[in-house]
Amino acid sequence: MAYDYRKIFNGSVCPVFELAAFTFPEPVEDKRHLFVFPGRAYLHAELSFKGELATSGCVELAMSEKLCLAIAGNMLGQDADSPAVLEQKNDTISEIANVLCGRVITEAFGTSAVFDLTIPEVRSMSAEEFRNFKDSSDVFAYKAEGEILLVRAEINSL
Amino acid sequence: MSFNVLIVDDSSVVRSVIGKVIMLCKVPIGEVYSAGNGKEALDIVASKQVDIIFADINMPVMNGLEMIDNLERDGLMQKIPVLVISTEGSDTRIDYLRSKGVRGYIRKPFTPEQIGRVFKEVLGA
Repeated sequence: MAYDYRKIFNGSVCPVFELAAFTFPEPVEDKRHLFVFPGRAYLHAELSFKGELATSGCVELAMSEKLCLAIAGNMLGQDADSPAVLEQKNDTISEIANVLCGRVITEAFGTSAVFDLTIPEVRSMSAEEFRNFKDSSDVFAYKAEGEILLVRAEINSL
Repeated sequence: MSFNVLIVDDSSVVRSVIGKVIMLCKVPIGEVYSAGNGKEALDIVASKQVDIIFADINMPVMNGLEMIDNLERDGLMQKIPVLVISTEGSDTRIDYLRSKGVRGYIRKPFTPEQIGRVFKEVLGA
C-alpha cells in the first residue's frame, strides 16, 4: 500500500511543533535552496513502531542543535543558552520525535489500530550527513525559527 | 489539604512542563515527585504518600502499561488516581486503560488547559 507522506506530515508536523514545542514550522516545497551551514552541529532522532496486521515503520526527525535548543528553551520557559536547556537537547528531540510518531500513526491509520513504539534513538549528525539526509527524495523539509527541520517516515504494511 | 503528585515520564522536559502546569492550577500541591520510568514510579509509590499520578506509556525499563498492571495487582488503582499523558492515539488502548481504572487520558501534544481541566476534574477541586 502506498502512503501519501506529504499529506501525513502536513497533518502532523505543524500541530506537534505548535503544541508541544511552541514553534511554528512552514513546509518547504523546494529543498534545493535550503543551505546547510558547514561546521554546525545537528541532531537526528529515530524511532520505530509495530502494530496490527504486520504493519510497521519508522519516523525520523533531524534539526540543528540551535533549533533544538530554541525548542527546549520554549518548552522549559528559559533562555536557549541556559545550563538547564543545554542539558536537555537530546531529551527534547527525543520527545518531539515520539509525539510526532504518534501523530503520524494516527494520520496514516486513524484511531482504531493499536501500535507499540520504541524509545527514540538520538545521535549527532555532521553538516554533511544532514545535507545528505535533506537531499534524500523521501525526506520532507520545513523551516522553523530560520532553521531547517527534516522529517522522514517509512510505513510497511501488507 | 494538599496533594502529593507523582509525574512519570522518561522525558525530563515533559516532567518539568507538567510540573509547571499543575502549579498554575490553583490546586494545593504538596510534594511533586518525578520518575523516569514505571519501576522508579513504583518505588516512589511504595515509600511516599502519593495522591495522584501523571504517567506516560512509552518509557524504557518499565512502560506505563506494566506500571498500571502492577498498581492494579496491588489494589492501588482504586486508591491513587492515575492520569495518562501519552502519544497513544488508539481508542482501543485508551478503552483498555480506562478498564484498568485510569481516571483520565490526555494525548500529547497537550495544552496546559487540558492538563489543568483533567487534573481538577479527577481531584474534584
